[in-house]
Amino acid sequence: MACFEDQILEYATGNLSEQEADRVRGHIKYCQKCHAYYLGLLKTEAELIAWNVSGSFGDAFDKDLIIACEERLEAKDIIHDILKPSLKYVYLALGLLAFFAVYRYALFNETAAVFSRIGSSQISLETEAKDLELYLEQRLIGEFREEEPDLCTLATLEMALNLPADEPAEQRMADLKYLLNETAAAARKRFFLFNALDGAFLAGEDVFRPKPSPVPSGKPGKEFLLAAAALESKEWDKAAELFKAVMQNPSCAEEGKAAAFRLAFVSDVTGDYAGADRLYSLLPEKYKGSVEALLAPEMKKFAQARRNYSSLVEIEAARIKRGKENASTYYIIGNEKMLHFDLDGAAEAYTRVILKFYGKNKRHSKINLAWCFMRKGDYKNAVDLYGNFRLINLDHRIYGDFGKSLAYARLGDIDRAREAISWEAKREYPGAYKVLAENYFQSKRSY
Amino acid sequence: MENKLPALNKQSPDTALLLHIRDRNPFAFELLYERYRKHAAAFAQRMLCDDSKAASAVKEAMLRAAAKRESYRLGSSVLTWLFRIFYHVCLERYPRVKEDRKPEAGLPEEIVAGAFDRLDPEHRAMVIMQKYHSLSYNNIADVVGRKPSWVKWQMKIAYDLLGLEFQRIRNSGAGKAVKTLPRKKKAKKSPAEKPAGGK
Repeated sequence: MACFEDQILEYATGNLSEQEADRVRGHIKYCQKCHAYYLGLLKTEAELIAWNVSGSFGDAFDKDLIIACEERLEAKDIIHDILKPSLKYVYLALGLLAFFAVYRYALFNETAAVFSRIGSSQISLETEAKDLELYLEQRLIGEFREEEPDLCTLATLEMALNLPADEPAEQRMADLKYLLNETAAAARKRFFLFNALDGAFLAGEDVFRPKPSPVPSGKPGKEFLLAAAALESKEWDKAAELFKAVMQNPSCAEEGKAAAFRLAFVSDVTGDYAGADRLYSLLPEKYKGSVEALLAPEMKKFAQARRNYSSLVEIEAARIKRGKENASTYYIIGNEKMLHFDLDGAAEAYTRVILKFYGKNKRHSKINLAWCFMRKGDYKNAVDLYGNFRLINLDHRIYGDFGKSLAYARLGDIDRAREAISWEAKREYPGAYKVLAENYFQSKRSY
Repeated sequence: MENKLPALNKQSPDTALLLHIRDRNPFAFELLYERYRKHAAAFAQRMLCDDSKAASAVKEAMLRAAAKRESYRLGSSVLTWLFRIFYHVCLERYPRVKEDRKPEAGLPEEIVAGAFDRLDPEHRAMVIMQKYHSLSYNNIADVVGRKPSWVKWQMKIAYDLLGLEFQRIRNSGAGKAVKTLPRKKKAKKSPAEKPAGGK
């Protein structure tokens, strides 16, 4: 039987249960070593009994102590009585603040939110629709520069930009809104809780967002139309002057916000960055709740991204000088030219990438070149190029189907346009197909 | 609806007293002190071996108990909660270097106190709590903030040390002046002894 040396102290001091005490008692009877240890402990215990103390400091001490403690009890304790009860609310507020900060800057889906807001805004003036198209074009160009562009967004936004010119204004607005909401829904393909939080966040923001002013009906004035025509034909200086005149003319108050929006864009394109930034910042303050106010911060971001892109171009130009150009060199140059509306120059750079190089930049160049052809009105080349997308992957193929169909529709070959859309494309981008079919195939039930 | 506390009397349980103390009831504190003042005074006297220091420690401990009344967890032992405060106050006031006790009269109390001086303050407190205040090992573990197994182990060491000390005293002759072993003093390192290049 093993010794219970560890338990002998507990036994001697009476800290063992009855059963364990019996076991130790039985062991001590025959184990000399443990018996001796036990006796030693008993002696020690016996010695300890001798230590007596008074256990009191007198009545006077007790009275003083009670009075001091009563005073302490009655005193307001800053930590327990004031800070502690309010601390939990401070922690709660800080926690909520931290959560919203993280959510707003990391988890909130900005793209979907912007499209949702525009989709739910009042757009009934022709000028507002044009401004929206200007924004969509900038957004698309921005997407084209991305490493991995969201092809669904590209397809839907391209469809929004290619609505037939002869479409009735009301139908045009409805289609635009529909496509934007589709884009927002596509961007929100993620965990449902985040979508719910996005919804809650937007609803919360809507409470504080200024209500849009009633949209005036009617046609824009002559001055504004002249300015818009100058912008269309890329006569930047003339457009800038005319838009300034519209802004200063008190009789053109209704077109003021659109004039400011477009003047900001022209200023940015012509290199007057300070003026552009000032106007983009002014719009949300002066025309609260309008579509232009909603779009201005986004346009400001695009403008800044475009300026940052210039530094990349300088690096690539230096690379060409050293004779060490590669696929990304011409791809970046193509992007830069596209940003400055030089579609021919951009097409040349992209063609160079497609002919000389392989890989990711070649794939991206094909998408961007097709966009250049479509914007230039070279639909035949666009059809050929979109046909090439079949060789890349499913996403590109579906995107190519839409581009090809749109190009055929623009060429007036509706039958081929209808045939170009595969069933995968109809399944993946139903919103874009609906608008395409309704506007170009002349049959609402064709799908 | 307001939650009313039960009426106080001398037989009220400890938990009820603490609830009243949390409610700033001075009578409840008086009752609590009445109930535990002997424990407090005896523990401090045995720990510090000096009545004035012990009185000061008891006062400090009771004031701390009044201030930290919110730290008492409902359902736990009030005795353990109070002893935790006594223990920490006494450790704070325990002399860093103790003078060697020279019992002139050779009284049994002086012999035991001299033997206790050989122990570390933690060992000393644990033995005092167990022997003179009948705290179980689990309660002591709760007071010192350790596991019961650690307390058992340390108690064994403390008793072994006390046994050796008493044996030495007996061998040197009971009733005569007790000659205890010289206490080891922590020698301060002189700057010259510090390793070169050390921080």
